[in-house]
Amino acid sequence: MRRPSGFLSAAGGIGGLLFLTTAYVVGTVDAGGITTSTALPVSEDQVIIRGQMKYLRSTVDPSPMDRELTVWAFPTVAVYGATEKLAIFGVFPYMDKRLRVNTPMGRRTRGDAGVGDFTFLGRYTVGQWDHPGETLRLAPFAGIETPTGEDDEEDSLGRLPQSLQLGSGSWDPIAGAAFTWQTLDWEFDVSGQYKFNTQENSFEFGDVARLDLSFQYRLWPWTFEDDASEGVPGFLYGVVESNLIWQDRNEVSGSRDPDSGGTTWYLTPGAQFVTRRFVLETAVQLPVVQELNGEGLENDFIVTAGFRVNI
Amino acid sequence: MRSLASLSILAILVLSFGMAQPAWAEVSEITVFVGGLSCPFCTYGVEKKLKAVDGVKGVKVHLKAGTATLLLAEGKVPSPEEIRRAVKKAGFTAGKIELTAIGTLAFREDTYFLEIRYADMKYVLFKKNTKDTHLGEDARERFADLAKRTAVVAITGALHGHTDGPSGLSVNEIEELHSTTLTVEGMTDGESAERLESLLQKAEGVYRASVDFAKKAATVESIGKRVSSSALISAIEGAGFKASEADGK
Repeated sequence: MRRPSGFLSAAGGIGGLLFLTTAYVVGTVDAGGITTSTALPVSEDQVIIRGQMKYLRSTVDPSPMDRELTVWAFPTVAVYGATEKLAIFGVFPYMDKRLRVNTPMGRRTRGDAGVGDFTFLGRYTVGQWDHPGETLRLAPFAGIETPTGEDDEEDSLGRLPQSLQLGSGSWDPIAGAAFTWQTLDWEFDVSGQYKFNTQENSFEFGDVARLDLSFQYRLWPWTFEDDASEGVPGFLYGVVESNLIWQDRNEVSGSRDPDSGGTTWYLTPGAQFVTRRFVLETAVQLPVVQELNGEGLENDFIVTAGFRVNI
Repeated sequence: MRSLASLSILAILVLSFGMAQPAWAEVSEITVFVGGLSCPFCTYGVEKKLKAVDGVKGVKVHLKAGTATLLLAEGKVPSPEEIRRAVKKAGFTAGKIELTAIGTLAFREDTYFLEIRYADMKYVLFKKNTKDTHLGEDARERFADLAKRTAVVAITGALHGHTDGPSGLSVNEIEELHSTTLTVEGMTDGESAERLESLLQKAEGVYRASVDFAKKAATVESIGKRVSSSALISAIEGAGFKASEADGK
């Protein structure tokens, strides 16, 4: 089957980026990294809710189509502590994707808004080393992204490209692991994750692998002397993270799309305010390296703001 | 004969009421060291799990010290196993458990016990930081003196569980409980007595205060150092009442 014509495949080179808005909130519910999964515990029968707003903009277009992509995503994450070692995550995103592109009919905006694909994960603590004021944890996780989002939307120009659809239409397994080292002064998280994208609608997104690092340092209170830190004070953390993401090429009816996939490395500065009951946080992912295949649309930045609350 | 039986029943009733457990637990706080606790958000789960333990009415976490202090309901003392289980279910590791208990000393089978006041429970006493019932010569002399006088003591120590016997306490500190009773004039009703009791409870050095409206008496207990009568009288008179020592001074 021949490759789709230019403007119809305009979104092909941005497929991986669109799904990053949901894939990487997985596992980051507990106080830990903002864009990195953590292995910190969830108490048995505990419920934590995380709400986020993400704004993605991609305008660096090597093609003549002058593509501009904006995505607003509002993922809600709920986590439940089935036991003190097993935490169950549900990710429920709402998204609004808009692509402005030059077409033979003039400049058009294509896109859709609505509920995306839900993701469900289980994370199990296999290593736990606790000391006064310090903990190290290791926790693998696995789950699946389910085809709950609309994957067959059309507009006046016909069926939306798969990358602009709210859902993939496919069941996509995810597996990974997180390691966390936390003290009263700082925290270090590292996590690796692989998403096996499967085929639906004669389309298969490329698999996604990612390696994330996070370092959070307590800025306030600067010193933690007993007389200034009675009980449980709030902490303000400065955060710096690294997100290395590789996506394989998409397949369209068995043919690999040369304008899809690639590797992106983000540096992500941010801040968190953490209390016993809630977390407020914000970060901006800045692409330092983007090696995208063919005419893939490059990302400008991704801004994240959100909260987490212990129920 | 009938009147003797009635008197006996009356005596038993009077004794029973006299021995009824007061509103305060004689083990009022337990502190557990929680390993792995290193951020504010994580403390919520620890608090919630510990508060669900039977007998716990409140929990205060101190993040820097890595401890959770359990405030106990009247007459209920959770076992160390229950406390450790709650910390584990919160996702952390329980370390040492410490408490202060009030009671009198008893010596049986070459072992000292602390018999908790007003409650049917006791702790085996161990040497500090050990599970050795041989307390050392200096400690045994002091304990023997306190036991002989049936002094009421407060012992602070680390709690050790026991599946088929009383729990044990490794003794960090032992102090005598001192009691001062004052006569109070000017209370008009139970509410004013409660108000005065609350005021005395907050006075420096006071472990426990109780005010009896009917008997016009205020009793204050302190641990280690006796609170001066003059300071108490001054505090009571500052609240608008008159006070004197129970012997009339």
